[in-house]
Amino acid sequence: MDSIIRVIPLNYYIFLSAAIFCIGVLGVLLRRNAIIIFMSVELMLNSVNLLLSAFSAYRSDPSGQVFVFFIMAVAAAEVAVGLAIIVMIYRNTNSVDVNLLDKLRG
Amino acid sequence: MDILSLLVFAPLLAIFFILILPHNQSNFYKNITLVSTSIQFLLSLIVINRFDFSYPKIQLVEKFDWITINMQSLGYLSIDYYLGVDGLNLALVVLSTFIFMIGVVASWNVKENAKAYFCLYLLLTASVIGCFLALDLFLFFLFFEFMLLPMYFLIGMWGGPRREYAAIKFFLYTLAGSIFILIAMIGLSISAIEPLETAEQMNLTGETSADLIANVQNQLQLQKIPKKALVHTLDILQLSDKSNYIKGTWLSWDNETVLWGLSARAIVFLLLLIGFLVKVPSFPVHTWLPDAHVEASTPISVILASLLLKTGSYGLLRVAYTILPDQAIEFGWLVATLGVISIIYAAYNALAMNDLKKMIAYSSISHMGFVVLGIAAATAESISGAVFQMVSHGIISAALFLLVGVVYDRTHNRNIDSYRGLASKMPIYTTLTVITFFASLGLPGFSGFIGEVLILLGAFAAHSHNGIISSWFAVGATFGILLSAAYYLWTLQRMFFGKFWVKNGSLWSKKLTDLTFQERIILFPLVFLMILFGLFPHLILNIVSPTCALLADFIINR
Amino acid sequence: MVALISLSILGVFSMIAGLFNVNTKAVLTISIVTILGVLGFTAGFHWNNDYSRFYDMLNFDNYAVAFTCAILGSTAILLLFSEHFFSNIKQYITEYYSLIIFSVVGMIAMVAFDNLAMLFLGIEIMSVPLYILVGSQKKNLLSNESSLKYFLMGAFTTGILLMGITLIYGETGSFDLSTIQSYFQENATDSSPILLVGLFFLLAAMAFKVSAAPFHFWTPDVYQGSPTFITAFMSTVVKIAGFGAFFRLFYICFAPISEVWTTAIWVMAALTITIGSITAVFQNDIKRLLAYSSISHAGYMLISLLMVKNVESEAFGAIFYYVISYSISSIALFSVIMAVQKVKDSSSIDAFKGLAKANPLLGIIAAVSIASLAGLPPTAGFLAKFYILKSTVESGYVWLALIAVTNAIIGIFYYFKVLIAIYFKEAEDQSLSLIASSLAYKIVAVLLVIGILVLGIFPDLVYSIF
Repeated sequence: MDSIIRVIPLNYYIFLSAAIFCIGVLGVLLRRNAIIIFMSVELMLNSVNLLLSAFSAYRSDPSGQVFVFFIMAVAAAEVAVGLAIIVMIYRNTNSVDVNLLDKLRG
Repeated sequence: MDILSLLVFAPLLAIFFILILPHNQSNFYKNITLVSTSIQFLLSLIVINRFDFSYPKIQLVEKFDWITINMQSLGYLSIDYYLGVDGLNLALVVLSTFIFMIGVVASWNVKENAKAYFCLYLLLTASVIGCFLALDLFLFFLFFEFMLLPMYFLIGMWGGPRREYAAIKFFLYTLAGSIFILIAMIGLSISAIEPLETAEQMNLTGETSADLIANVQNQLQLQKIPKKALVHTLDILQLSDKSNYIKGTWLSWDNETVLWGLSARAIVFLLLLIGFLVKVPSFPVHTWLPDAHVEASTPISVILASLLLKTGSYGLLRVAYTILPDQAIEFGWLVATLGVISIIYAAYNALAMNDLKKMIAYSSISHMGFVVLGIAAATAESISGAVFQMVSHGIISAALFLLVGVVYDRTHNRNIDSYRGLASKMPIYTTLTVITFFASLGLPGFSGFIGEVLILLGAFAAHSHNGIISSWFAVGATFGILLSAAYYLWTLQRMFFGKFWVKNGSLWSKKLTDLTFQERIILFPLVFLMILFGLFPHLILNIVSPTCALLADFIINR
Repeated sequence: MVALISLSILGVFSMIAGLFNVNTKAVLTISIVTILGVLGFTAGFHWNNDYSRFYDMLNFDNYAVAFTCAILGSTAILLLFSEHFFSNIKQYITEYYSLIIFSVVGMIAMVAFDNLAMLFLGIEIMSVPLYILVGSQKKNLLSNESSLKYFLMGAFTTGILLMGITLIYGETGSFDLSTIQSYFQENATDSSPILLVGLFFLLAAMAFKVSAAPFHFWTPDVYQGSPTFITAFMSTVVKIAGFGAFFRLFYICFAPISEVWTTAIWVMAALTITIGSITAVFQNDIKRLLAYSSISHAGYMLISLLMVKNVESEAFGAIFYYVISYSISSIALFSVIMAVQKVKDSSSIDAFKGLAKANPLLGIIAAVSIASLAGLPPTAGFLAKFYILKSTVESGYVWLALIAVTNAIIGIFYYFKVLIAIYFKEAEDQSLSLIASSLAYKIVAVLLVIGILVLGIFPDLVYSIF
């Protein structure tokens, strides 16, 4: 398993994860649909997962991969709460566009 | 708990009594406050009784460890609860207890929200007296800043129509001043040590404590004390001792570092100067005072003018001049210039005012200018004169604001041009006003004369004594006396003499009755004191002079 | 560890209690008693105790114990004030209790973590219940909006935090705090881009959590939109936990390479204080105003991170004293706001006009707590600022001290806007005199006021415990 991962140099993993992470960040910052923002966040988390497994494999240290499981579990919990919030908003406004949410101003 | 602590904290006990009393007993609040302030007055008389007039240094000391901050590798900061009296503050403490007693009687008719009023009043009492007695810079600052809060509410809740504006202006000005003092204090807190406590940290012992102190100071100058054992201090007396400063710190006497063209000690002096001058108030940071006075009710104006302003000038002497005598000499010209400008500029303003209270507020600024000039000259006479003037102005300005309150209570109007010929209608009132005006403009025989003459003599002589300021400052200040004679006499002429006439005719003339019993019992003692101290100035000077001479010596021999 | 386990059991218990329609008052009482019991146990057992490490995952050293106690104490006091919030909800009340308790469990993990995995888990366990609590007024659009904003920002921050942890892991090969610390001690000059980016991401994520500028923009919206009780919870307890974690991370983990990040903290602190206090001046909604004030307070607390170089445990004392004084004062002020909201459905400053006359007790509580937040003596807030400023000057950051002091004056201005409304304005209607406070409320609130004053006069009670 380790040897297969190590066929590809570590830098490639870093660059790939960085690219996915940036896509995720840009998605959060630029898109206005709550669901898509949410998906972009998931993209960020998954790029972290990828990078963690790569580091873990290259260092032959299992704790990184254990961490990945934590992230996946917590992400699932976040999805549950997040989707509930989005549904709640949809029921009240019939939309999931975050631009409509501008009632709070100072 | 010794007598000085009792003096400071007695009002808190009274507050407790007021708080537990039921709401419908509102008459008791003023009685309790009167009893509490009278007790304070008696206590202050006991302090005078115990005071040794021939000994110029701090007496009746109360000192306990209060806060100790462990800074690990940098040693400790020890903040003490430290009270004491000497010539600088004793007279002011007695003045405060007396004026606070007068103020309660002047507040006798406060009906609205009396419980809160008297609680705040008592808090103010405690903090003003605490401020005069505190000898640890931190404790001093605590009292100095805490008195803003009750004053803010007293102006803002029982004041005139623009009271919110006046209250917040007062608060922001004086708070900004205190912040400067806070910065200076932080700088000082990391620069000097307390020798005895440091010796304790180093496990040193000596025959006598004087030996021990000399030993520690010697080692400090040789930089032999490990940093961990240094006990930093904010004790004003320790901070005034040159050999307590740690070599190489910002504020040590030999530090040559220059920031913006000034040494660190100069910067700290200027910070303290600004901080205290706001409270005095002196040109150019005086603009809050007329507003605050115009909006505040009569008793609050009395307290503000006769006591709160004194904390500023007292702080200048006690903190800035005691801790940084070298800079006091360096910047004597600046302090004197500001003092003289205040004297003349405020006098001109007073001349132009139509609102009687505003005129008196400006005259207050002008007379406090004399105090500043006296402090700046830093000779024995001028400092004694400054302290004397603080006491005398405390009495006179209290009387002045009470006198304004008399007409204002009757007609709710205090414009000078609304009245003419009051002398025929209110003879006793007019007599007292004439005496007080004469005392304030510095006629011989009244206390105002003594203070101003001592200051002017000192300022003239400063040139030959210590060379801090030139004699021309005294000449300029003399001009201020002329101006004050002008505005007082002109006001007398316009308001009191001539044929009786008032703006609203018969409606007002019915209301304008002579002094009530309550007004008489507060005005007569004040007028009596003005004359008493004018004829027998040594009653105050005996207390004040030894310490002031010592301070003047200390400044010259820095 | 006992704290975590017993609180988790308490959370599960109150969730189940909801199923069987147990009296909510009883559940509340049980919760408060348990929390206080756990507080007592943690303080008594773990303080100065060598057997406080749990498999290199959690470490209840004195620092963690102090923060845990602060968190538990604040939560217990807040729960005492919660009656109005819960009387508005009507159903699922015990579930809300359990969410709050689970959130507290997360916070304890945050301040006691010894492994970055526990930091991550702690933050998530704290945040996920908070997302729900913020949105607990389901039909209220403001509450909805702040819930979604908080959730999206929180999830985004989680991503950034995880990326930071991952990069640090890639560089040092461990999640363990002491291992990472010793790695940095050996390679103090290490400045590989992976490390720097990771450090920056961690800094940004923690700044998000404690709402430090420039990552503060979610705070006003979320604070304004949430139910007031939750706003109080977030601006006090959550803030304590956030700073507890921030400090633990940077003080223990990254202290050896402090040169790399102190400048960033310097700038962040200056920005946070300035933005917070200047923007607060223009607010008319008290919850929004307090949000900005809490941002500015976060700036002061950030300053104490700068002391890492030359003053070891003074920084712990200073930050802990600041946290305690800030949290007591805020809770006291929020208790007044919650009391007013019982009769007025508004959080604008105008709603507080004439409060002092209608209800003097609330007026006094507000005055003392505002004085403390503004940093006036003799309240705890003054000494808290004094300690921070003093150590700033000691560490040589004179300019930062000047910025902080200037903003303290601006602070007076906006805090006093509230005081002016409370004391100097006339009430618009009679509703304020209808506020009926229970005896328990009065006792707790008066105790808080006394606490603010006592801490201000005898700071050594808290300051010198380390």
